[in-house]
Amino acid sequence: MLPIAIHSVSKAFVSPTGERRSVLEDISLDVAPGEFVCIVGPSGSGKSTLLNLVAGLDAASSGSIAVGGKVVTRPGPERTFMFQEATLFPWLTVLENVRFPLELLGVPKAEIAERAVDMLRLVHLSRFQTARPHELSGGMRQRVALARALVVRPEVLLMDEPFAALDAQTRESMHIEVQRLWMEFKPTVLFVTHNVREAVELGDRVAIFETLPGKLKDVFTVDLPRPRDPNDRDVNILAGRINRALKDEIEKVMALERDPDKSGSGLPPRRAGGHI
Amino acid sequence: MALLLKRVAFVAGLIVAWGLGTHGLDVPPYIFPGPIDVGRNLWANIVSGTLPLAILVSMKRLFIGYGLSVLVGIPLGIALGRIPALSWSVGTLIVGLQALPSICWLPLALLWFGLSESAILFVVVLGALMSIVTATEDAIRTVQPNTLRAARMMGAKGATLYYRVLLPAAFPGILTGLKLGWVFAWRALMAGELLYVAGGIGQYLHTGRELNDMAQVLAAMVAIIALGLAFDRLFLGRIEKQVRSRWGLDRG
Repeated sequence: MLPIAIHSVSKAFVSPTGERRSVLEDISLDVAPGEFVCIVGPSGSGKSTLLNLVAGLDAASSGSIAVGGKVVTRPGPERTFMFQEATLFPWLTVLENVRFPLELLGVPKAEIAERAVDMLRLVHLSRFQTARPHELSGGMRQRVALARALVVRPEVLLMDEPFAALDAQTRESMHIEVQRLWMEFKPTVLFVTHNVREAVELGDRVAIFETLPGKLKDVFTVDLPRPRDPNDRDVNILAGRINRALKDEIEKVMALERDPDKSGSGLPPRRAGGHI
Repeated sequence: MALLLKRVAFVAGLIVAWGLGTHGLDVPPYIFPGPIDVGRNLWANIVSGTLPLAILVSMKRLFIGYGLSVLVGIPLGIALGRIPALSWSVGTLIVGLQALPSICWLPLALLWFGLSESAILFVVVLGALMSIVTATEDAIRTVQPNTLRAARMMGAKGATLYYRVLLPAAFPGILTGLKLGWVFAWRALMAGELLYVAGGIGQYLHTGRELNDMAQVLAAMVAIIALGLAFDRLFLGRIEKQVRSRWGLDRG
Protein backbone atom coordinates (compact mmCIF):
# COMPACT_ATOMS: atom_id res chain seq x y z
CA MET A 1 0.00 0.00 0.00
CA LEU A 2 1.11 3.53 -0.68
CA PRO A 3 1.73 6.35 1.78
CA ILE A 4 0.27 9.83 1.40
CA ALA A 5 2.56 12.78 1.95
CA ILE A 6 0.86 16.15 2.30
CA HIS A 7 3.45 18.87 2.47
CA SER A 8 2.57 22.47 3.48
CA VAL A 9 -0.50 22.56 1.28
CA SER A 10 -2.57 25.73 0.98
CA LYS A 11 -5.66 26.32 -1.06
CA ALA A 12 -7.46 29.57 -1.80
CA PHE A 13 -10.50 30.13 -3.94
CA VAL A 14 -11.29 33.31 -5.79
CA SER A 15 -14.94 34.22 -5.38
CA PRO A 16 -16.98 35.55 -8.33
CA THR A 17 -16.52 39.05 -6.88
CA GLY A 18 -12.76 38.64 -7.18
CA GLU A 19 -12.21 38.19 -3.46
CA ARG A 20 -9.52 35.70 -2.48
CA ARG A 21 -10.56 33.37 0.28
CA SER A 22 -8.16 31.06 2.00
CA VAL A 23 -9.64 27.64 2.71
CA LEU A 24 -6.60 25.61 3.72
CA GLU A 25 -3.42 26.98 5.19
CA ASP A 26 -0.13 25.18 5.42
CA ILE A 27 -1.34 21.64 6.00
CA SER A 28 1.29 18.95 6.47
CA LEU A 29 0.24 15.41 7.20
CA ASP A 30 1.88 12.07 6.53
CA VAL A 31 -0.25 8.97 6.28
CA ALA A 32 1.60 5.66 6.51
CA PRO A 33 0.89 2.80 4.08
CA GLY A 34 -2.26 1.01 5.16
CA GLU A 35 -3.01 3.55 7.85
CA PHE A 36 -6.57 4.78 8.56
CA VAL A 37 -6.56 8.51 9.28
CA CYS A 38 -9.73 10.43 10.07
CA ILE A 39 -10.05 14.17 9.65
CA VAL A 40 -12.53 15.94 11.91
CA GLY A 41 -13.37 19.60 11.86
CA PRO A 42 -16.30 21.97 11.76
CA SER A 43 -17.74 23.45 8.58
CA GLY A 44 -15.32 25.63 6.70
CA SER A 45 -12.24 23.80 7.90
CA GLY A 46 -11.46 22.72 4.35
CA LYS A 47 -11.34 19.01 5.13
CA SER A 48 -13.32 18.04 2.03
CA THR A 49 -11.18 20.40 -0.02
CA LEU A 50 -8.08 18.57 1.19
CA LEU A 51 -9.62 15.27 0.16
CA ASN A 52 -10.33 16.65 -3.32
CA LEU A 53 -6.71 17.73 -3.60
CA VAL A 54 -5.46 14.25 -2.67
CA ALA A 55 -7.96 12.83 -5.17
CA GLY A 56 -6.51 15.03 -7.89
CA LEU A 57 -9.92 16.57 -8.64
CA ASP A 58 -8.57 19.99 -7.74
CA ALA A 59 -5.12 21.56 -7.54
CA ALA A 60 -3.46 23.07 -4.47
CA SER A 61 -2.53 26.76 -4.54
CA SER A 62 0.82 25.90 -3.00
CA GLY A 63 2.58 22.96 -1.42
CA SER A 64 2.58 19.39 -2.70
CA ILE A 65 0.77 16.12 -2.27
CA ALA A 66 2.38 12.82 -3.13
CA VAL A 67 0.94 9.34 -3.10
CA GLY A 68 3.59 6.64 -3.05
CA GLY A 69 6.23 9.26 -3.82
CA LYS A 70 4.44 10.40 -6.97
CA VAL A 71 3.10 13.94 -7.01
CA VAL A 72 -0.67 14.04 -7.48
CA THR A 73 -1.85 16.09 -10.45
CA ARG A 74 -4.96 14.20 -11.55
CA PRO A 75 -7.16 11.27 -10.55
CA GLY A 76 -5.42 7.92 -10.80
CA PRO A 77 -6.49 4.29 -10.58
CA GLU A 78 -4.56 3.73 -7.33
CA ARG A 79 -6.92 6.18 -5.55
CA THR A 80 -10.67 5.74 -5.20
CA PHE A 81 -13.23 8.07 -3.71
CA MET A 82 -16.43 7.57 -1.75
CA PHE A 83 -18.86 10.48 -1.49
CA GLN A 84 -21.58 11.38 0.97
CA GLU A 85 -24.16 10.34 -1.60
CA ALA A 86 -23.56 6.99 -3.20
CA THR A 87 -23.17 8.59 -6.69
CA LEU A 88 -24.13 5.28 -8.27
CA PHE A 89 -25.24 5.46 -11.87
CA PRO A 90 -29.03 5.08 -11.98
CA TRP A 91 -29.02 3.65 -15.51
CA LEU A 92 -26.90 0.66 -14.45
CA THR A 93 -27.76 -2.28 -12.23
CA VAL A 94 -25.93 -2.84 -8.96
CA LEU A 95 -23.59 -5.34 -10.60
CA GLU A 96 -22.96 -3.09 -13.61
CA ASN A 97 -22.10 -0.24 -11.26
CA VAL A 98 -19.46 -2.37 -9.56
CA ARG A 99 -18.14 -3.59 -12.92
CA PHE A 100 -17.87 -0.05 -14.27
CA PRO A 101 -14.44 0.96 -12.87
CA LEU A 102 -12.97 -2.41 -13.87
CA GLU A 103 -14.23 -1.96 -17.42
CA LEU A 104 -12.64 1.48 -17.62
CA LEU A 105 -9.36 0.01 -16.41
CA GLY A 106 -9.47 -2.57 -19.20
CA VAL A 107 -9.49 -5.59 -16.91
CA PRO A 108 -10.14 -8.84 -18.90
CA LYS A 109 -13.83 -9.71 -19.13
CA ALA A 110 -13.76 -13.01 -17.27
CA GLU A 111 -11.87 -11.40 -14.43
CA ILE A 112 -14.30 -8.47 -14.26
CA ALA A 113 -17.25 -10.78 -13.78
CA GLU A 114 -15.51 -12.73 -11.06
CA ARG A 115 -14.17 -9.75 -9.14
CA ALA A 116 -17.43 -7.79 -9.25
CA VAL A 117 -19.49 -10.72 -8.02
CA ASP A 118 -16.96 -11.52 -5.28
CA MET A 119 -16.96 -7.91 -4.15
CA LEU A 120 -20.75 -7.80 -3.94
CA ARG A 121 -20.66 -10.93 -1.84
CA LEU A 122 -18.22 -9.23 0.54
CA VAL A 123 -20.69 -6.40 1.14
CA HIS A 124 -23.57 -8.90 1.45
CA LEU A 125 -25.42 -7.75 -1.66
CA SER A 126 -25.15 -10.83 -3.88
CA ARG A 127 -28.90 -11.06 -4.02
CA PHE A 128 -29.22 -7.54 -5.40
CA GLN A 129 -26.98 -7.83 -8.48
CA THR A 130 -29.77 -7.02 -10.91
CA ALA A 131 -31.46 -4.38 -8.75
CA ARG A 132 -31.35 -0.72 -9.71
CA PRO A 133 -29.77 1.73 -7.26
CA HIS A 134 -33.12 3.45 -6.60
CA GLU A 135 -34.57 0.18 -5.41
CA LEU A 136 -32.05 -0.02 -2.55
CA SER A 137 -32.03 1.67 0.86
CA GLY A 138 -29.51 4.41 1.61
CA GLY A 139 -27.27 2.02 3.53
CA MET A 140 -27.34 -0.57 0.78
CA ARG A 141 -26.47 2.08 -1.78
CA GLN A 142 -23.44 3.10 0.27
CA ARG A 143 -22.40 -0.54 0.47
CA VAL A 144 -22.54 -0.73 -3.33
CA ALA A 145 -20.48 2.46 -3.46
CA LEU A 146 -17.98 0.87 -1.07
CA ALA A 147 -17.85 -2.23 -3.25
CA ARG A 148 -17.31 -0.05 -6.32
CA ALA A 149 -14.49 1.78 -4.54
CA LEU A 150 -12.76 -1.40 -3.35
CA VAL A 151 -13.23 -3.63 -6.39
CA VAL A 152 -10.25 -2.06 -8.16
CA ARG A 153 -8.12 -2.89 -5.07
CA PRO A 154 -7.05 0.69 -4.54
CA GLU A 155 -3.90 1.65 -2.69
CA VAL A 156 -5.64 4.69 -1.27
CA LEU A 157 -9.31 5.08 -0.33
CA LEU A 158 -10.63 8.61 0.16
CA MET A 159 -13.93 8.92 1.99
CA ASP A 160 -15.84 12.19 2.24
CA GLU A 161 -18.42 11.88 5.04
CA PRO A 162 -19.69 8.67 3.46
CA PHE A 163 -22.14 7.82 6.26
CA ALA A 164 -23.32 11.29 7.23
CA ALA A 165 -26.66 10.90 5.48
CA LEU A 166 -27.50 7.54 7.03
CA ASP A 167 -29.60 6.88 10.12
CA ALA A 168 -27.77 5.95 13.33
CA GLN A 169 -28.38 2.19 13.14
CA THR A 170 -27.35 1.89 9.51
CA ARG A 171 -24.28 3.99 10.23
CA GLU A 172 -23.27 1.60 13.02
CA SER A 173 -23.53 -1.39 10.73
CA MET A 174 -21.52 0.46 8.08
CA HIS A 175 -18.78 1.09 10.64
CA ILE A 176 -18.52 -2.62 11.34
CA GLU A 177 -18.48 -3.27 7.59
CA VAL A 178 -15.76 -0.72 6.93
CA GLN A 179 -13.55 -1.99 9.74
CA ARG A 180 -13.87 -5.54 8.44
CA LEU A 181 -13.17 -4.61 4.81
CA TRP A 182 -10.31 -2.33 5.72
CA MET A 183 -8.67 -5.13 7.70
CA GLU A 184 -9.14 -7.40 4.70
CA PHE A 185 -7.83 -5.03 1.98
CA LYS A 186 -5.70 -2.69 4.11
CA PRO A 187 -5.81 0.35 1.82
CA THR A 188 -4.45 3.65 3.10
CA VAL A 189 -7.57 5.58 4.14
CA LEU A 190 -8.25 9.27 4.53
CA PHE A 191 -11.70 9.63 6.06
CA VAL A 192 -13.40 13.01 6.50
CA THR A 193 -16.22 13.32 9.02
CA HIS A 194 -18.09 15.64 11.36
CA ASN A 195 -18.65 12.81 13.78
CA VAL A 196 -15.92 12.54 16.42
CA ARG A 197 -17.03 9.18 17.76
CA GLU A 198 -17.07 7.76 14.23
CA ALA A 199 -13.50 9.02 13.77
CA VAL A 200 -12.31 7.39 16.99
CA GLU A 201 -14.08 4.17 16.18
CA LEU A 202 -12.50 3.86 12.74
CA GLY A 203 -9.17 5.66 12.73
CA ASP A 204 -5.61 4.82 13.67
CA ARG A 205 -5.20 8.54 14.08
CA VAL A 206 -7.63 11.45 14.18
CA ALA A 207 -6.55 14.80 12.78
CA ILE A 208 -8.38 17.87 14.06
CA PHE A 209 -8.84 20.84 11.77
CA GLU A 210 -9.33 24.46 12.76
CA THR A 211 -11.68 26.53 10.75
CA LEU A 212 -11.61 29.83 8.85
CA PRO A 213 -9.13 29.19 7.42
CA GLY A 214 -8.59 25.45 7.67
CA LYS A 215 -5.47 24.50 9.59
CA LEU A 216 -4.26 21.31 11.17
CA LYS A 217 -4.71 21.83 14.90
CA ASP A 218 -3.79 18.53 16.47
CA VAL A 219 -3.44 14.83 15.75
CA PHE A 220 -4.63 12.18 18.22
CA THR A 221 -3.47 8.59 18.09
CA VAL A 222 -6.15 6.00 18.74
CA ASP A 223 -4.33 3.17 20.42
CA LEU A 224 -7.28 0.82 20.91
CA PRO A 225 -7.77 -2.78 19.76
CA ARG A 226 -10.01 -3.54 16.77
CA PRO A 227 -12.79 -4.14 16.03
CA ARG A 228 -13.97 -1.25 18.15
CA ASP A 229 -17.33 -0.76 19.77
CA PRO A 230 -18.78 2.76 19.76
CA ASN A 231 -20.04 2.20 23.31
CA ASP A 232 -16.62 1.17 24.55
CA ARG A 233 -15.41 3.26 27.52
CA ASP A 234 -12.01 4.12 26.02
CA VAL A 235 -13.55 5.15 22.72
CA ASN A 236 -15.82 7.57 24.54
CA ILE A 237 -13.07 8.98 26.75
CA LEU A 238 -10.92 9.76 23.72
CA ALA A 239 -13.92 11.17 21.83
CA GLY A 240 -14.58 13.44 24.80
CA ARG A 241 -11.00 14.73 24.73
CA ILE A 242 -11.21 15.41 21.01
CA ASN A 243 -14.55 17.14 21.42
CA ARG A 244 -13.04 19.48 24.00
CA ALA A 245 -10.21 20.28 21.62
CA LEU A 246 -12.76 21.03 18.90
CA LYS A 247 -15.02 23.14 21.11
CA ASP A 248 -13.44 26.51 20.32
CA GLU A 249 -13.60 25.82 16.62
CA ILE A 250 -17.23 24.80 16.70
CA GLU A 251 -18.07 27.94 18.66
CA LYS A 252 -16.32 30.01 16.02
CA VAL A 253 -18.65 28.56 13.40
CA MET A 254 -21.74 28.87 15.60
CA ALA A 255 -21.03 32.53 16.30
CA LEU A 256 -20.74 33.11 12.60
CA GLU A 257 -24.02 31.35 11.87
CA ARG A 258 -25.72 33.54 14.47
CA ASP A 259 -24.33 36.74 13.03
CA PRO A 260 -22.61 36.36 9.68
CA ASP A 261 -22.07 40.14 9.39
CA LYS A 262 -19.72 40.30 12.35
CA SER A 263 -16.94 38.32 10.82
CA GLY A 264 -15.31 39.86 7.80
CA SER A 265 -14.81 36.72 5.79
CA GLY A 266 -17.82 34.52 6.47
CA LEU A 267 -18.06 30.86 5.64
CA PRO A 268 -16.64 29.93 2.31
CA PRO A 269 -19.21 28.50 -0.07
CA ARG A 270 -19.37 24.73 0.05
CA ARG A 271 -17.79 23.05 -2.94
CA ALA A 272 -16.37 26.39 -3.96
CA GLY A 273 -14.65 26.12 -7.29
CA GLY A 274 -15.67 22.50 -7.59
CA HIS A 275 -15.26 22.67 -11.30
CA ILE A 276 -15.17 19.52 -13.38
CA MET B 1 -55.64 -3.95 -20.27
CA ALA B 2 -58.25 -2.54 -17.91
CA LEU B 3 -56.70 0.88 -18.48
CA LEU B 4 -56.96 0.45 -22.25
CA LEU B 5 -60.62 -0.47 -21.89
CA LYS B 6 -61.24 2.62 -19.79
CA ARG B 7 -59.52 4.77 -22.41
CA VAL B 8 -61.58 3.27 -25.22
CA ALA B 9 -64.74 3.76 -23.18
CA PHE B 10 -63.79 7.38 -22.56
CA VAL B 11 -63.23 8.09 -26.25
CA ALA B 12 -66.48 6.30 -27.13
CA GLY B 13 -68.27 8.44 -24.55
CA LEU B 14 -66.82 11.58 -26.11
CA ILE B 15 -68.03 10.53 -29.56
CA VAL B 16 -71.52 9.78 -28.24
CA ALA B 17 -71.65 13.15 -26.48
CA TRP B 18 -70.49 14.84 -29.67
CA GLY B 19 -73.20 13.06 -31.66
CA LEU B 20 -75.92 13.81 -29.13
CA GLY B 21 -74.75 17.43 -28.89
CA THR B 22 -74.73 18.18 -32.61
CA HIS B 23 -77.95 16.25 -33.15
CA GLY B 24 -79.81 17.50 -30.10
CA LEU B 25 -78.90 21.13 -30.62
CA ASP B 26 -79.62 20.81 -34.32
CA VAL B 27 -76.26 22.22 -35.37
CA PRO B 28 -76.13 22.32 -39.18
CA PRO B 29 -73.32 20.09 -40.58
CA TYR B 30 -71.67 23.03 -42.40
CA ILE B 31 -71.05 24.62 -38.98
CA PHE B 32 -70.12 21.55 -36.98
CA PRO B 33 -70.75 18.11 -38.44
CA GLY B 34 -71.57 15.16 -36.21
CA PRO B 35 -69.46 12.03 -35.81
CA ILE B 36 -71.45 10.12 -38.42
CA ASP B 37 -70.66 12.64 -41.18
CA VAL B 38 -67.02 12.73 -40.15
CA GLY B 39 -66.84 8.95 -39.95
CA ARG B 40 -68.36 8.66 -43.40
CA ASN B 41 -65.80 11.06 -44.84
CA LEU B 42 -62.95 9.23 -43.10
CA TRP B 43 -64.15 5.88 -44.37
CA ALA B 44 -64.62 7.07 -47.94
CA ASN B 45 -61.18 8.64 -48.05
CA ILE B 46 -59.51 5.65 -46.47
CA VAL B 47 -61.14 3.32 -49.01
CA SER B 48 -60.27 5.56 -51.95
CA GLY B 49 -56.65 5.72 -50.71
CA THR B 50 -56.59 9.52 -50.47
CA LEU B 51 -56.10 9.64 -46.72
CA PRO B 52 -53.51 6.84 -46.45
CA LEU B 53 -51.50 8.53 -49.20
CA ALA B 54 -51.76 11.90 -47.49
CA ILE B 55 -50.62 10.33 -44.21
CA LEU B 56 -47.73 8.65 -45.98
CA VAL B 57 -46.57 11.91 -47.56
CA SER B 58 -46.78 13.78 -44.25
CA MET B 59 -45.10 11.01 -42.28
CA LYS B 60 -42.21 10.86 -44.71
CA ARG B 61 -41.61 14.59 -44.30
CA LEU B 62 -41.99 14.35 -40.56
CA PHE B 63 -39.53 11.49 -40.17
CA ILE B 64 -36.89 13.02 -42.42
CA GLY B 65 -37.22 16.47 -40.86
CA TYR B 66 -37.41 15.19 -37.31
CA GLY B 67 -34.57 12.74 -37.89
CA LEU B 68 -32.36 15.56 -39.16
CA SER B 69 -33.11 17.75 -36.17
CA VAL B 70 -32.33 14.89 -33.78
CA LEU B 71 -29.03 14.22 -35.55
CA VAL B 72 -28.04 17.88 -35.41
CA GLY B 73 -29.78 18.85 -32.17
CA ILE B 74 -28.33 16.36 -29.72
CA PRO B 75 -24.64 16.95 -30.56
CA LEU B 76 -25.25 20.69 -30.69
CA GLY B 77 -27.02 20.61 -27.32
CA ILE B 78 -24.15 18.65 -25.77
CA ALA B 79 -21.63 21.14 -27.12
CA LEU B 80 -23.67 24.04 -25.73
CA GLY B 81 -23.91 22.32 -22.35
CA ARG B 82 -20.18 21.75 -22.09
CA ILE B 83 -18.64 24.81 -23.72
CA PRO B 84 -19.47 28.09 -21.93
CA ALA B 85 -18.40 30.23 -24.89
CA LEU B 86 -20.99 28.51 -27.07
CA SER B 87 -23.65 28.73 -24.40
CA TRP B 88 -23.75 32.51 -24.14
CA SER B 89 -23.40 33.05 -27.89
CA VAL B 90 -25.16 30.34 -29.89
CA GLY B 91 -27.26 29.39 -26.86
CA THR B 92 -28.80 32.85 -26.63
CA LEU B 93 -29.55 32.80 -30.35
CA ILE B 94 -31.28 29.44 -30.01
CA VAL B 95 -33.45 30.56 -27.10
CA GLY B 96 -34.44 33.56 -29.22
CA LEU B 97 -35.23 31.40 -32.22
CA GLN B 98 -37.30 29.12 -30.02
CA ALA B 99 -39.74 31.97 -29.50
CA LEU B 100 -40.17 32.28 -33.26
CA PRO B 101 -42.71 29.85 -34.73
CA SER B 102 -40.77 28.06 -37.42
CA ILE B 103 -43.53 28.65 -39.97
CA CYS B 104 -42.29 32.26 -40.09
CA TRP B 105 -39.36 30.88 -42.06
CA LEU B 106 -41.62 29.62 -44.85
CA PRO B 107 -41.40 32.72 -47.10
CA LEU B 108 -37.61 32.63 -46.96
CA ALA B 109 -37.55 28.86 -47.34
CA LEU B 110 -39.71 29.11 -50.47
CA LEU B 111 -37.39 31.76 -51.82
CA TRP B 112 -34.27 29.69 -51.15
CA PHE B 113 -35.49 26.22 -52.00
CA GLY B 114 -38.45 26.95 -54.30
CA LEU B 115 -41.70 25.01 -54.06
CA SER B 116 -39.90 21.84 -53.09
CA GLU B 117 -39.74 19.23 -50.36
CA SER B 118 -36.61 20.96 -49.09
CA ALA B 119 -38.55 24.11 -48.21
CA ILE B 120 -41.01 22.26 -46.03
CA LEU B 121 -38.27 20.09 -44.49
CA PHE B 122 -36.41 23.24 -43.59
CA VAL B 123 -39.43 24.52 -41.66
CA VAL B 124 -39.91 21.17 -39.92
CA VAL B 125 -36.23 20.94 -38.92
CA LEU B 126 -36.24 24.44 -37.48
CA GLY B 127 -39.45 23.63 -35.64
CA ALA B 128 -38.02 20.64 -33.80
CA LEU B 129 -34.37 21.62 -33.55
CA MET B 130 -34.59 24.41 -30.97
CA SER B 131 -36.41 22.46 -28.30
CA ILE B 132 -34.13 19.46 -28.78
CA VAL B 133 -31.04 21.65 -28.46
CA THR B 134 -32.24 23.55 -25.39
CA ALA B 135 -33.45 20.43 -23.59
CA THR B 136 -30.19 18.60 -24.33
CA GLU B 137 -28.11 21.56 -23.19
CA ASP B 138 -30.10 21.79 -20.00
CA ALA B 139 -29.91 18.06 -19.34
CA ILE B 140 -26.14 18.01 -19.82
CA ARG B 141 -25.63 21.05 -17.63
CA THR B 142 -27.73 19.69 -14.77
CA VAL B 143 -25.93 16.36 -14.50
CA GLN B 144 -24.99 16.06 -10.81
CA PRO B 145 -21.44 17.38 -10.26
CA ASN B 146 -20.70 14.40 -8.02
CA THR B 147 -21.72 11.99 -10.76
CA LEU B 148 -19.01 13.56 -12.90
CA ARG B 149 -16.49 13.57 -10.08
CA ALA B 150 -17.18 9.90 -9.37
CA ALA B 151 -16.76 9.13 -13.06
CA ARG B 152 -13.49 11.02 -13.23
CA MET B 153 -12.19 9.25 -10.12
CA MET B 154 -12.90 5.94 -11.87
CA GLY B 155 -10.85 7.11 -14.82
CA ALA B 156 -13.58 8.20 -17.25
CA LYS B 157 -12.38 10.89 -19.61
CA GLY B 158 -12.69 12.05 -23.21
CA ALA B 159 -15.12 10.10 -25.37
CA THR B 160 -15.70 7.52 -22.63
CA LEU B 161 -16.88 10.22 -20.25
CA TYR B 162 -19.41 11.43 -22.82
CA TYR B 163 -20.59 8.12 -24.06
CA ARG B 164 -20.71 6.14 -20.84
CA VAL B 165 -21.56 8.80 -18.27
CA LEU B 166 -22.74 12.18 -19.54
CA LEU B 167 -25.15 10.91 -22.19
CA PRO B 168 -26.87 8.29 -20.05
CA ALA B 169 -27.00 10.68 -17.09
CA ALA B 170 -28.64 13.33 -19.27
CA PHE B 171 -30.84 10.91 -21.19
CA PRO B 172 -34.15 11.48 -19.34
CA GLY B 173 -33.82 15.23 -19.98
CA ILE B 174 -32.86 14.70 -23.61
CA LEU B 175 -35.91 12.50 -24.05
CA THR B 176 -38.16 15.32 -22.86
CA GLY B 177 -36.61 17.46 -25.58
CA LEU B 178 -37.21 14.73 -28.15
CA LYS B 179 -40.87 14.57 -27.19
CA LEU B 180 -41.24 18.33 -27.39
CA GLY B 181 -39.35 18.37 -30.67
CA TRP B 182 -41.76 15.82 -32.11
CA VAL B 183 -44.73 17.99 -31.23
CA PHE B 184 -43.11 21.08 -32.73
CA ALA B 185 -42.13 19.21 -35.88
CA TRP B 186 -45.74 18.08 -36.30
CA ARG B 187 -47.05 21.61 -35.88
CA ALA B 188 -44.53 23.08 -38.26
CA LEU B 189 -45.40 20.45 -40.83
CA MET B 190 -49.15 21.04 -40.58
CA ALA B 191 -48.70 24.80 -40.84
CA GLY B 192 -46.43 24.34 -43.82
CA GLU B 193 -48.77 21.97 -45.62
CA LEU B 194 -51.79 24.18 -44.94
CA LEU B 195 -50.05 27.21 -46.38
CA TYR B 196 -48.25 25.65 -49.23
CA VAL B 197 -50.40 22.76 -50.37
CA ALA B 198 -48.44 19.87 -51.77
CA GLY B 199 -49.93 16.62 -50.58
CA GLY B 200 -50.03 15.48 -47.01
CA ILE B 201 -52.69 15.67 -44.32
CA GLY B 202 -52.42 19.45 -44.25
CA GLN B 203 -53.57 19.59 -47.80
CA TYR B 204 -56.36 17.13 -47.10
CA LEU B 205 -57.58 19.54 -44.43
CA HIS B 206 -57.10 22.50 -46.72
CA THR B 207 -59.16 20.87 -49.47
CA GLY B 208 -61.97 20.40 -46.98
CA ARG B 209 -61.83 24.07 -46.21
CA GLU B 210 -61.93 25.10 -49.87
CA LEU B 211 -64.93 22.85 -50.52
CA ASN B 212 -66.59 24.12 -47.36
CA ASP B 213 -66.69 20.48 -46.31
CA MET B 214 -66.37 20.71 -42.54
CA ALA B 215 -66.72 16.94 -42.25
CA GLN B 216 -63.43 16.60 -44.11
CA VAL B 217 -61.78 19.30 -41.99
CA LEU B 218 -62.80 17.47 -38.85
CA ALA B 219 -61.80 14.12 -40.37
CA ALA B 220 -58.31 15.51 -40.97
CA MET B 221 -58.18 16.80 -37.43
CA VAL B 222 -59.24 13.44 -36.04
CA ALA B 223 -56.58 11.72 -38.15
CA ILE B 224 -53.89 14.09 -36.88
CA ILE B 225 -54.92 13.55 -33.26
CA ALA B 226 -55.01 9.78 -33.73
CA LEU B 227 -51.55 9.76 -35.31
CA GLY B 228 -50.07 11.90 -32.57
CA LEU B 229 -51.59 9.70 -29.90
CA ALA B 230 -50.44 6.52 -31.61
CA PHE B 231 -46.88 7.79 -31.94
CA ASP B 232 -46.76 8.74 -28.29
CA ARG B 233 -48.27 5.46 -27.06
CA LEU B 234 -46.24 3.22 -29.33
CA PHE B 235 -42.94 5.03 -29.38
CA LEU B 236 -41.76 8.09 -27.48
CA GLY B 237 -44.16 7.73 -24.57
CA ARG B 238 -43.25 4.10 -24.19
CA ILE B 239 -39.52 4.81 -24.18
CA GLU B 240 -40.02 7.60 -21.68
CA LYS B 241 -41.96 5.34 -19.36
CA GLN B 242 -39.23 2.72 -19.49
CA VAL B 243 -36.49 5.25 -18.91
CA ARG B 244 -38.33 6.82 -15.98
CA SER B 245 -38.79 3.51 -14.24
CA ARG B 246 -35.26 2.35 -14.99
CA TRP B 247 -33.63 5.61 -13.85
CA GLY B 248 -35.85 5.57 -10.76
CA LEU B 249 -37.59 8.86 -11.54
CA ASP B 250 -41.13 7.68 -10.90
CA ARG B 251 -41.17 7.59 -7.13
CA GLY B 252 -43.09 10.12 -5.09
